[in-house]
Amino acid sequence: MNTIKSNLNPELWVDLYADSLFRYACKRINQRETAKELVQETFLAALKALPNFKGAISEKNWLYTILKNKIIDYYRKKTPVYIEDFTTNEKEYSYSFDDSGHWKQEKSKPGWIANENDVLLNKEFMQVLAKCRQKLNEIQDAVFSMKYIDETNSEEICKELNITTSNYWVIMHRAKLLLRACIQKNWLNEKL
Amino acid sequence: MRLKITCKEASLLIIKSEEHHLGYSEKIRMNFHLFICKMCRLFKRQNKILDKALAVNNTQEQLTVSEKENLKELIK
Repeated sequence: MNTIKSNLNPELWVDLYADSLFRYACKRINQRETAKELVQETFLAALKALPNFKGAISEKNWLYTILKNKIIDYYRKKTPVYIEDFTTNEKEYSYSFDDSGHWKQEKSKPGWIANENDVLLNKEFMQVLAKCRQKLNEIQDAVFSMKYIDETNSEEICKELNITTSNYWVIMHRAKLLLRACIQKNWLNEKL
Repeated sequence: MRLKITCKEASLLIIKSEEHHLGYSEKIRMNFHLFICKMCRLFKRQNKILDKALAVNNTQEQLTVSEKENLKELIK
């Protein structure tokens, strides 16, 4: 028992893990303060659970597991509020489509396009995208984080967030439309 | 089966198709629409670009020294 306990060093946690846990949280939650709070809660929860730690996984993995659960909990708490909004509010589509469901044409400039192969090296594009991402609401952000950062499949995401498949597609559809429009507006694509 | 769909519907099918969630008839409708609609062909490419770019999230955020000190105090 004592040997297992000695593997845990709470006094070193902040120095050893705070940075990487915080980065992990920031990648998945767009708000710095929330990310920080979740890391804080993770340490506190771990401290509380110290007597139950069985030593089956490393201290580091244990802390990550707690943080992951905290993040999912946070996503879940945000979900119901937005789902309500989504299923009732058609207004958001009118940004992209006219009443007959056709694209609203941007007459002033052609639609943006980037080279798919080197888009990650395109600093300006990535900066604009990061800014545009800030416009997503929390549930869109949650779905995006799970899909793109954790590579969770849609069935799993629906299960975790307790949403229906059609909710999922509405969330994805609107988020993509929003990003597309935001990039159109803010990225100067000089190659065209 | 209604073959003609709007761009709004097509754009959703395009997103779904990237995740392999299209039924047979949806696939036909989407491809027919893509064949006649330049804007949706563009959207399909934009969607691909977004998918690729969104998978990267290099956050620059860091905890400050004082924030870390606070954390240390908290779990003492």
